[in-house]
Amino acid sequence: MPTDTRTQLLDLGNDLRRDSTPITLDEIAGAGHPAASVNLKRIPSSRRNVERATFARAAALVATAAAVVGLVVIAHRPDASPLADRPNSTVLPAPVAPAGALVLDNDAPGWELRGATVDQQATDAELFIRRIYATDDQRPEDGPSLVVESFDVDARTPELTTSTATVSIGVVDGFLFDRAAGGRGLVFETDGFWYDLTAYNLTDPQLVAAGEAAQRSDDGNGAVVDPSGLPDQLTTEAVGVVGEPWFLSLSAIDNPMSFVRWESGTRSMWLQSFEQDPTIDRFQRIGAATVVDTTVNGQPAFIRTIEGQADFRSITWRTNGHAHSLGSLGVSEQDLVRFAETLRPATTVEWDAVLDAVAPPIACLGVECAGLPEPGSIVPAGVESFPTIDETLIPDDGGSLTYAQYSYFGDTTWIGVLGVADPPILDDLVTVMVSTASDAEPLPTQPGRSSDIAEYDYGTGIKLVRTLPDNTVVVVQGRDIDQLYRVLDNIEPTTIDGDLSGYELIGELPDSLEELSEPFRRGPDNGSFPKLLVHGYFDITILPGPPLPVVSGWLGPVEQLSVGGRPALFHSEPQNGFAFVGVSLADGNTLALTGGGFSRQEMIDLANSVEFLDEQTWKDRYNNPR
Amino acid sequence: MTGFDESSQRHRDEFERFMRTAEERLRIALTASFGVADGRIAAVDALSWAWENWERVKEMSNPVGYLYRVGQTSARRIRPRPIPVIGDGVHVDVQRISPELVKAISDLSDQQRTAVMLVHAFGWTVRDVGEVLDLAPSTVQTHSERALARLRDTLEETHAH
Repeated sequence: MPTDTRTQLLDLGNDLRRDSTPITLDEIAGAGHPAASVNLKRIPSSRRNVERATFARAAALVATAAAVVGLVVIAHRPDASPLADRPNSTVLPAPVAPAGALVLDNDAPGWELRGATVDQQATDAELFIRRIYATDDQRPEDGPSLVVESFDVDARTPELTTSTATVSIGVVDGFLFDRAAGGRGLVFETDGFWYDLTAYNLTDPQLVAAGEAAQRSDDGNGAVVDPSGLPDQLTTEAVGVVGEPWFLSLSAIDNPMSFVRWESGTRSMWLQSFEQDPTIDRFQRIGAATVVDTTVNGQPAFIRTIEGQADFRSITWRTNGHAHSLGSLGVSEQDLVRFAETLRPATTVEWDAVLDAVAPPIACLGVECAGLPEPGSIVPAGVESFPTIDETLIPDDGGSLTYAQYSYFGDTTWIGVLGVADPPILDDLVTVMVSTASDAEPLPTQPGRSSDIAEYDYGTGIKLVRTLPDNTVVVVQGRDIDQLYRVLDNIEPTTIDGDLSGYELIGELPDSLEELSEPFRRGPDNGSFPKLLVHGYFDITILPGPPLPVVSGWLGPVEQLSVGGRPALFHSEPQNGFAFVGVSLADGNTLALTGGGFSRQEMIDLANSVEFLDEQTWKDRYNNPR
Repeated sequence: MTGFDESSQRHRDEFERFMRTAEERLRIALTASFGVADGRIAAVDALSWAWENWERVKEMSNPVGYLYRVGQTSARRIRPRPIPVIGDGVHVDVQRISPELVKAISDLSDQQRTAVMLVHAFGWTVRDVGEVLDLAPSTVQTHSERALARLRDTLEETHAH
């Protein structure tokens, strides 16, 4: 029998808290999740911001939708098939899935479903508003057109190249240049906003005139160009955002959209279905490298490619009052059309089945959830590798349960630390990182500095990044910029059989610096590492390598400790409550504890309370459905 | 690793630390407003927005409060109507919790529902609630008390019948 109202509310809160699973950084950042594995670096750089945002969000929402669906399945979908409950005497059309979702009519050999969701566009869509002025031709790419974006200078940076011509736009300088993805660019800043224009088949004077007539839109949706600044042929206008990666009208993003993704080896396809005015579909054609008209099951369609993105190809067509854009990487024109022709509107039952198929197990223990490498390739499978702690030591003031996962490192980097050893000064360390980047790009020149070095000043510290001709990147991070330049001159990457094998110090280090931590390798081939999260604000994990490089990167005060007789380091950031203890383990790795809102002594006590289990016991203990 | 990637790594480190202190508060607050399912989606959306706008967010004096509003916008876009706290497959033990209470909570105004859930179901202080909802603690107290009174009235009426 239910008790009084307040007690029932408390019970209800406990039930809701139990059913609310913590959100992980990978859901947000998209790292490691199958739905986010599109190589965004293949997308032209001017589009990266947009695509990164969209795919990260899509991945997060796929994960969220999946988790939610999992709960629904538990509660409302017993074993009986929905079809089995259909009355025999009445035949009704099957309900159509939301947002124009499509499903494959037959299996597509070799292609695996990797993600599906129904979603609306991001809340930050205003940052990526794009207004297009074009002719009313059905093939607007053949005629003149103008694309206009405008956004807060703090929000993002427009594409600029070094080969620009300067023109006057009112009282400010504007930069004219040829865009890598095609079109003529005009970029200028005024009143705290960037204006970013791209002209196709227009003259420079026409583009400049449009820039002079551009102003922020009254409704906050980017910029508009006063008709006085537009060529007469540009009689139609559309406003929207660039999706993945195609233009979507504002009306489209105000309605639910469905998103499905498939992969086949290194090839991928992703389908977005949305509602918008059919006359706006053609605006996708503007800015494409090539546009080819075709049909999908007899319906008009067009295939686009993007300059500098040889692997990308998309096809857009309409069915059932919805537009569908199917993007692809590594798929031929013929295969793309064939795939599109096998897609048909989904029923709700079919769409639910698609969502179920992509739902990961809730709070699953790692490898099978995210396709991570098997753990333990570097971390010895000894008892010290799998930490646990008495959860009752962590106050449960917010509600989430303990769960376990594996973490891994996406980039391979050699990391070392320099500092003054005698007496040890751990508050003023220099971190050295050397890695190889396949897509390393020349860096902007700093006045009075070497041309291949970029400086980053974060307020709490400085980072110098040098990109070498062979795409090796050397990073030094610390506080004293002159000292960092002198350190950088003494770092020489080493290779074995053409592969980066670390770095050497080739000269005398400045300011009595010594090597406090020799370079060690951290990367995806390290395997993955057990991590235990408790109540959402405390976690324990094993990190590869010693503790010092972990804390040196944070550029804050570091204290040497002893935990259980082992050397340890403590670091805290009082301004945000962050606290860290790193304990040096016998196998050369670090037991890392991080928490929010804990005092130094509490963190030390917690570190002393950590116990180690063998992997199977650890898995058995935490691999529960929550 | 390029300069861009280095910067991204720092971004990731900072954001991970932010998540430790903010994720649960944000998720629970949005759960109180929109239920477990939509609340979590809204929290993911808000945190995704924060991830993409980290340079802006990290300078904010009350980032969780701001992100709550981002999540609120997102949830209302998903379902532009009042959303029940319960549903979407959450298990409620009717031996302990009256179904009438569940319905009565769903019938509250958005602010009353959020306030009473955070204060009385999740045990937050009115000050903590006020910070996230951008309301004065006294306003939270008022919403919470009125909501509790309405819930009690509804349950008494139900049992009287």
